[in-house]
Amino acid sequence: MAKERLQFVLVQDRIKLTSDEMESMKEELIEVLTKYIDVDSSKIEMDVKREEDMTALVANFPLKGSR
Amino acid sequence: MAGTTIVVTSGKGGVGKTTSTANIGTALAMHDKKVCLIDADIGLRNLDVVMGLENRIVYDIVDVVENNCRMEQAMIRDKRYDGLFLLPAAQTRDKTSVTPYQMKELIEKLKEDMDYVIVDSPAGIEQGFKNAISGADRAVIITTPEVSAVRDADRIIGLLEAEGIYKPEVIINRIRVDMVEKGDMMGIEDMIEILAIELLGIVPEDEGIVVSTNRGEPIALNDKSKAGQAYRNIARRIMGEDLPIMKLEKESFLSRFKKLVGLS
Ligand SMILES: Nc1ncnc2c1ncn2[C@@H]1O[C@H](COP(=O)(O)OP(=O)(O)OP(=O)(O)O)[C@@H](O)[C@H]1O
Ligand SMILES: [Mg+2]
Repeated sequence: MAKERLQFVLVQDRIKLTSDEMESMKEELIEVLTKYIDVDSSKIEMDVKREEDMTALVANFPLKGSR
Repeated sequence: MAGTTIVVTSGKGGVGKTTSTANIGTALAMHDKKVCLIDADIGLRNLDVVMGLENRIVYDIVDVVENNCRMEQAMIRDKRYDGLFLLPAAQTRDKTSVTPYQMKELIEKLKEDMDYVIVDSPAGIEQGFKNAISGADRAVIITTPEVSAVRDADRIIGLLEAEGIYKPEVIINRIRVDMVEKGDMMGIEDMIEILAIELLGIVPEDEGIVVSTNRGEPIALNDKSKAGQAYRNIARRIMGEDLPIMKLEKESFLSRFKKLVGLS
Protein backbone atom coordinates (compact mmCIF):
# COMPACT_ATOMS: atom_id res chain seq x y z
CA MET A 1 0.00 0.00 0.00
CA ALA A 2 2.61 2.53 1.11
CA LYS A 3 4.86 1.24 -1.64
CA GLU A 4 2.26 1.85 -4.34
CA ARG A 5 1.52 5.34 -3.05
CA LEU A 6 5.20 6.14 -3.01
CA GLN A 7 5.65 4.87 -6.55
CA PHE A 8 2.72 6.96 -7.68
CA VAL A 9 4.02 10.25 -6.31
CA LEU A 10 7.52 9.54 -7.55
CA VAL A 11 6.37 8.99 -11.13
CA GLN A 12 4.91 12.47 -11.06
CA ASP A 13 7.87 14.06 -9.29
CA ARG A 14 10.45 12.50 -11.53
CA ILE A 15 8.73 13.13 -14.81
CA LYS A 16 7.31 16.49 -13.69
CA LEU A 17 3.85 15.78 -15.09
CA THR A 18 0.52 16.07 -13.35
CA SER A 19 -1.62 12.97 -13.12
CA ASP A 20 -3.91 14.42 -15.82
CA GLU A 21 -0.99 14.93 -18.17
CA MET A 22 0.27 11.48 -17.35
CA GLU A 23 -3.14 10.03 -18.16
CA SER A 24 -3.42 11.81 -21.51
CA MET A 25 0.11 10.76 -22.42
CA LYS A 26 -0.89 7.19 -21.68
CA GLU A 27 -3.99 7.50 -23.85
CA GLU A 28 -2.05 8.99 -26.73
CA LEU A 29 0.53 6.27 -26.48
CA ILE A 30 -2.18 3.63 -26.57
CA GLU A 31 -3.71 5.32 -29.58
CA VAL A 32 -0.43 5.19 -31.50
CA LEU A 33 0.40 1.67 -30.47
CA THR A 34 -3.02 0.24 -31.33
CA LYS A 35 -2.50 1.43 -34.88
CA TYR A 36 0.15 -1.23 -35.20
CA ILE A 37 -0.35 -3.80 -32.47
CA ASP A 38 -3.10 -5.17 -30.29
CA VAL A 39 -2.39 -3.95 -26.79
CA ASP A 40 -4.38 -4.91 -23.74
CA SER A 41 -5.04 -1.43 -22.39
CA SER A 42 -6.29 -2.73 -19.07
CA LYS A 43 -2.89 -4.08 -18.15
CA ILE A 44 -0.63 -1.19 -19.03
CA GLU A 45 1.94 -0.22 -16.45
CA MET A 46 4.03 2.90 -16.46
CA ASP A 47 6.82 3.66 -14.08
CA VAL A 48 9.64 6.13 -13.91
CA LYS A 49 12.74 4.31 -12.82
CA ARG A 50 16.03 5.72 -11.68
CA GLU A 51 18.92 3.75 -13.00
CA GLU A 52 22.70 3.95 -12.79
CA ASP A 53 23.13 6.89 -15.12
CA MET A 54 19.66 7.94 -16.18
CA THR A 55 16.04 8.20 -15.25
CA ALA A 56 13.78 6.33 -17.64
CA LEU A 57 10.10 6.04 -18.34
CA VAL A 58 9.49 2.30 -18.37
CA ALA A 59 6.20 1.26 -19.87
CA ASN A 60 4.71 -2.14 -20.22
CA PHE A 61 2.15 -2.69 -22.94
CA PRO A 62 1.02 -6.31 -22.81
CA LEU A 63 -0.27 -7.69 -26.12
CA LYS A 64 -3.81 -8.97 -26.26
CA GLY A 65 -4.19 -12.69 -26.18
CA SER A 66 -0.48 -13.27 -25.53
CA ARG A 67 1.07 -14.70 -22.44
CA MET B 1 46.26 14.54 3.97
CA ALA B 2 43.28 15.53 1.88
CA GLY B 3 40.16 14.23 3.51
CA THR B 4 36.70 13.46 2.24
CA THR B 5 33.78 15.81 2.69
CA ILE B 6 30.44 14.19 3.35
CA VAL B 7 27.22 16.16 3.44
CA VAL B 8 24.40 14.78 5.56
CA THR B 9 21.14 15.94 4.09
CA SER B 10 17.46 15.13 3.66
CA GLY B 11 14.39 16.42 1.89
CA LYS B 12 12.02 16.39 4.80
CA GLY B 13 13.05 18.13 8.00
CA GLY B 14 13.42 16.53 11.40
CA VAL B 15 14.35 13.09 10.12
CA GLY B 16 17.67 12.87 11.94
CA LYS B 17 20.39 14.76 10.05
CA THR B 18 21.89 16.41 13.10
CA THR B 19 21.68 13.23 15.16
CA SER B 20 23.35 11.30 12.36
CA THR B 21 26.09 13.87 11.82
CA ALA B 22 27.01 13.85 15.51
CA ASN B 23 27.03 10.08 15.73
CA ILE B 24 28.86 9.37 12.52
CA GLY B 25 31.49 11.93 13.48
CA THR B 26 31.88 10.46 16.94
CA ALA B 27 32.07 6.92 15.61
CA LEU B 28 34.73 7.91 13.05
CA ALA B 29 36.73 9.60 15.80
CA MET B 30 36.59 6.34 17.77
CA HIS B 31 38.65 4.88 14.94
CA ASP B 32 41.26 7.62 15.44
CA LYS B 33 40.11 9.50 12.39
CA LYS B 34 40.53 13.23 12.36
CA VAL B 35 37.07 14.66 11.82
CA CYS B 36 35.53 18.11 11.67
CA LEU B 37 31.76 18.52 11.85
CA ILE B 38 30.29 21.64 10.28
CA ASP B 39 26.92 22.90 11.38
CA ALA B 40 25.56 24.45 8.20
CA ASP B 41 22.17 25.15 9.72
CA ILE B 42 22.79 28.86 10.17
CA GLY B 43 20.16 30.46 12.37
CA LEU B 44 19.04 27.13 13.82
CA ARG B 45 22.22 25.87 15.40
CA ASN B 46 21.80 22.45 17.00
CA LEU B 47 24.81 20.28 16.47
CA ASP B 48 26.63 21.98 19.35
CA VAL B 49 23.93 20.88 21.78
CA VAL B 50 23.78 17.34 20.44
CA MET B 51 27.57 17.12 20.84
CA GLY B 52 27.44 18.72 24.29
CA LEU B 53 29.73 21.55 23.23
CA GLU B 54 27.35 24.51 23.38
CA ASN B 55 29.14 26.24 26.27
CA ARG B 56 32.47 26.38 24.44
CA ILE B 57 31.42 28.42 21.46
CA VAL B 58 33.22 31.72 20.98
CA TYR B 59 33.32 32.12 17.21
CA ASP B 60 31.24 30.53 14.48
CA ILE B 61 31.31 29.77 10.77
CA VAL B 62 30.17 33.26 9.78
CA ASP B 63 33.04 34.75 11.81
CA VAL B 64 35.43 32.57 9.84
CA VAL B 65 33.94 33.56 6.51
CA GLU B 66 33.96 37.25 7.46
CA ASN B 67 37.55 37.01 8.71
CA ASN B 68 36.69 37.95 12.27
CA CYS B 69 38.79 35.03 13.41
CA ARG B 70 40.99 32.27 12.09
CA MET B 71 39.46 28.88 11.32
CA GLU B 72 41.29 27.22 14.23
CA GLN B 73 39.81 29.74 16.66
CA ALA B 74 36.29 28.78 15.68
CA MET B 75 36.87 25.03 15.73
CA ILE B 76 35.83 23.48 19.04
CA ARG B 77 37.60 20.37 20.14
CA ASP B 78 35.35 17.53 21.33
CA LYS B 79 35.33 16.63 25.04
CA ARG B 80 36.01 12.98 24.39
CA TYR B 81 38.11 12.67 21.26
CA ASP B 82 41.13 14.80 20.47
CA GLY B 83 40.70 14.28 16.76
CA LEU B 84 37.09 15.47 16.65
CA PHE B 85 36.11 19.10 16.05
CA LEU B 86 32.98 21.17 15.56
CA LEU B 87 32.68 24.29 13.48
CA PRO B 88 29.44 25.78 14.84
CA ALA B 89 26.77 27.65 12.91
CA ALA B 90 25.95 31.25 13.70
CA GLN B 91 22.75 31.54 15.64
CA THR B 92 21.84 35.17 15.05
CA ARG B 93 22.44 35.31 11.31
CA ASP B 94 20.62 33.82 8.35
CA LYS B 95 21.45 31.38 5.58
CA THR B 96 22.57 34.12 3.20
CA SER B 97 25.50 35.02 5.48
CA VAL B 98 27.56 32.35 3.75
CA THR B 99 27.66 31.77 0.00
CA PRO B 100 28.18 28.37 -1.62
CA TYR B 101 31.51 29.62 -2.94
CA GLN B 102 32.71 30.66 0.52
CA MET B 103 31.60 27.35 1.91
CA LYS B 104 33.51 25.48 -0.73
CA GLU B 105 36.67 27.46 -0.08
CA LEU B 106 36.35 26.92 3.64
CA ILE B 107 35.91 23.17 3.23
CA GLU B 108 38.81 22.88 0.81
CA LYS B 109 41.07 24.46 3.39
CA LEU B 110 39.66 22.49 6.29
CA LYS B 111 39.95 19.09 4.69
CA GLU B 112 43.66 19.52 4.12
CA ASP B 113 44.26 18.31 7.62
CA MET B 114 41.19 16.19 8.26
CA ASP B 115 40.30 12.65 7.31
CA TYR B 116 36.63 13.57 7.15
CA VAL B 117 34.65 16.79 7.08
CA ILE B 118 30.99 16.14 7.78
CA VAL B 119 28.45 18.82 6.98
CA ASP B 120 25.09 18.89 8.73
CA SER B 121 22.67 20.36 6.24
CA PRO B 122 19.57 22.36 7.14
CA ALA B 123 16.16 21.10 6.03
CA GLY B 124 14.80 22.20 2.69
CA ILE B 125 16.18 22.81 -0.77
CA GLU B 126 16.96 26.51 -0.58
CA GLN B 127 20.17 28.41 -0.02
CA GLY B 128 21.08 26.57 3.16
CA PHE B 129 21.00 23.29 1.30
CA LYS B 130 23.03 24.73 -1.58
CA ASN B 131 25.64 25.93 0.90
CA ALA B 132 25.80 22.61 2.64
CA ILE B 133 26.36 20.59 -0.51
CA SER B 134 28.94 22.85 -2.09
CA GLY B 135 32.29 21.24 -1.54
CA ALA B 136 30.87 17.79 -0.78
CA ASP B 137 32.57 14.73 -2.21
CA ARG B 138 29.91 12.34 -0.96
CA ALA B 139 26.34 12.72 0.20
CA VAL B 140 24.38 10.80 2.77
CA ILE B 141 20.62 11.22 2.64
CA ILE B 142 18.61 10.59 5.78
CA THR B 143 15.03 9.42 5.55
CA THR B 144 12.48 7.75 7.76
CA PRO B 145 10.34 4.86 6.47
CA GLU B 146 7.43 7.13 5.58
CA VAL B 147 6.08 7.87 2.12
CA SER B 148 6.49 11.63 2.54
CA ALA B 149 10.10 11.41 3.71
CA VAL B 150 11.13 8.94 1.02
CA ARG B 151 9.45 11.06 -1.61
CA ASP B 152 11.43 14.11 -0.51
CA ALA B 153 14.59 12.01 -0.42
CA ASP B 154 13.99 11.20 -4.07
CA ARG B 155 13.80 14.90 -4.85
CA ILE B 156 17.12 15.44 -3.12
CA ILE B 157 18.78 12.66 -5.10
CA GLY B 158 17.77 14.48 -8.26
CA LEU B 159 19.02 17.83 -6.97
CA LEU B 160 22.34 16.35 -5.87
CA GLU B 161 22.86 14.84 -9.29
CA ALA B 162 22.10 18.18 -10.89
CA GLU B 163 24.89 19.62 -8.72
CA GLY B 164 27.30 16.91 -9.79
CA ILE B 165 27.15 14.82 -6.62
CA TYR B 166 26.49 11.32 -7.83
CA LYS B 167 25.77 8.08 -6.01
CA PRO B 168 24.49 9.42 -2.72
CA GLU B 169 23.86 6.82 -0.05
CA VAL B 170 20.87 6.58 2.26
CA ILE B 171 20.36 5.98 5.95
CA ILE B 172 16.88 4.88 6.94
CA ASN B 173 16.32 6.20 10.44
CA ARG B 174 13.71 5.55 13.12
CA ILE B 175 12.85 2.03 12.08
CA ARG B 176 10.35 0.54 14.49
CA VAL B 177 11.13 -3.07 15.15
CA ASP B 178 7.57 -3.89 16.21
CA MET B 179 6.22 -2.47 12.96
CA VAL B 180 8.74 -4.35 10.87
CA GLU B 181 7.73 -7.55 12.59
CA LYS B 182 4.07 -6.93 11.91
CA GLY B 183 4.76 -5.94 8.32
CA ASP B 184 3.25 -2.49 8.93
CA MET B 185 6.20 -0.63 7.56
CA MET B 186 7.49 -0.04 4.10
CA GLY B 187 10.12 -2.66 3.45
CA ILE B 188 13.74 -1.54 3.45
CA GLU B 189 14.38 -3.39 0.19
CA ASP B 190 11.39 -1.72 -1.45
CA MET B 191 12.62 1.73 -0.48
CA ILE B 192 16.11 1.03 -1.74
CA GLU B 193 14.83 -0.37 -4.99
CA ILE B 194 12.51 2.54 -5.65
CA LEU B 195 15.14 5.16 -4.81
CA ALA B 196 17.78 3.18 -6.72
CA ILE B 197 20.40 4.16 -4.19
CA GLU B 198 22.97 2.43 -2.02
CA LEU B 199 21.95 1.69 1.59
CA LEU B 200 24.52 2.98 4.06
CA GLY B 201 22.66 1.77 7.10
CA ILE B 202 19.50 1.53 9.12
CA VAL B 203 18.98 3.03 12.56
CA PRO B 204 16.22 1.84 14.88
CA GLU B 205 13.83 4.12 16.71
CA ASP B 206 15.42 4.46 20.13
CA GLU B 207 14.34 6.52 23.12
CA GLY B 208 17.97 6.52 24.12
CA ILE B 209 18.62 9.01 21.32
CA VAL B 210 16.45 11.61 23.01
CA VAL B 211 18.20 10.97 26.32
CA SER B 212 21.62 11.18 24.72
CA THR B 213 20.70 14.39 22.88
CA ASN B 214 19.58 15.94 26.12
CA ARG B 215 22.83 14.95 27.77
CA GLY B 216 24.98 16.02 24.87
CA GLU B 217 26.48 12.57 24.54
CA PRO B 218 26.02 10.98 21.14
CA ILE B 219 24.53 7.50 21.37
CA ALA B 220 27.43 6.04 19.38
CA LEU B 221 29.35 6.26 22.67
CA ASN B 222 26.93 3.82 24.28
CA ASP B 223 28.07 0.30 23.54
CA LYS B 224 24.85 -1.26 24.80
CA SER B 225 22.59 0.67 22.44
CA LYS B 226 21.40 -0.79 19.14
CA ALA B 227 21.15 2.68 17.62
CA GLY B 228 24.70 3.31 18.80
CA GLN B 229 25.79 0.07 17.16
CA ALA B 230 23.99 1.12 14.00
CA TYR B 231 25.99 4.36 13.84
CA ARG B 232 29.25 2.60 14.59
CA ASN B 233 28.53 0.23 11.71
CA ILE B 234 27.72 3.15 9.43
CA ALA B 235 31.06 4.76 10.28
CA ARG B 236 32.88 1.54 9.40
CA ARG B 237 31.06 1.37 6.07
CA ILE B 238 32.06 4.97 5.39
CA MET B 239 35.67 3.92 6.00
CA GLY B 240 35.19 1.29 3.31
CA GLU B 241 34.38 -1.81 5.29
CA ASP B 242 31.85 -4.19 3.80
CA LEU B 243 29.58 -4.93 6.75
CA PRO B 244 26.20 -6.63 6.54
CA ILE B 245 23.17 -4.50 7.42
CA MET B 246 22.15 -5.26 10.99
CA LYS B 247 19.12 -7.39 11.66
CA LEU B 248 16.62 -5.59 13.82
CA GLU B 249 13.84 -8.06 14.28
CA LYS B 250 14.33 -10.75 16.81
CA GLU B 251 13.82 -13.88 14.81
CA SER B 252 10.82 -15.64 16.21
CA PHE B 253 10.63 -19.39 16.43
CA LEU B 254 7.94 -19.35 13.77
CA SER B 255 9.96 -17.38 11.24
CA ARG B 256 13.02 -19.54 11.86
CA PHE B 257 10.86 -22.58 11.33
CA LYS B 258 9.36 -21.13 8.16
CA LYS B 259 12.83 -20.47 6.80
CA LEU B 260 13.90 -23.95 7.72
CA VAL B 261 11.11 -25.57 5.77
CA GLY B 262 11.45 -23.07 2.94
CA LEU B 263 8.21 -21.19 3.45
CA SER B 264 9.69 -17.70 3.49
N1 LIG C 1 16.44 6.88 15.73
C1 LIG C 1 15.80 7.77 16.50
N2 LIG C 1 15.06 7.36 17.56
C2 LIG C 1 14.42 8.27 18.32
N3 LIG C 1 14.46 9.59 18.16
C3 LIG C 1 15.18 10.06 17.13
C4 LIG C 1 15.89 9.19 16.25
N4 LIG C 1 16.52 9.96 15.32
C5 LIG C 1 16.22 11.24 15.61
N5 LIG C 1 15.42 11.32 16.69
C6 LIG C 1 14.86 12.55 17.28
O1 LIG C 1 14.19 13.27 16.27
C7 LIG C 1 14.34 14.66 16.42
C8 LIG C 1 14.90 15.26 15.15
O2 LIG C 1 16.22 14.79 14.95
P1 LIG C 1 17.35 15.73 14.32
O3 LIG C 1 17.39 17.04 15.00
O4 LIG C 1 18.59 14.93 14.25
O5 LIG C 1 16.73 15.91 12.87
P2 LIG C 1 17.20 16.92 11.73
O6 LIG C 1 16.99 16.21 10.44
O7 LIG C 1 18.55 17.42 12.01
O8 LIG C 1 16.14 18.10 11.90
P3 LIG C 1 16.16 19.52 11.13
O9 LIG C 1 15.65 19.25 9.76
O10 LIG C 1 15.23 20.36 11.94
O11 LIG C 1 17.58 20.00 11.15
C9 LIG C 1 15.26 14.85 17.63
O12 LIG C 1 14.45 15.14 18.74
C10 LIG C 1 15.93 13.50 17.79
O13 LIG C 1 16.26 13.25 19.12
MG1 LIG D 1 19.25 19.47 12.12
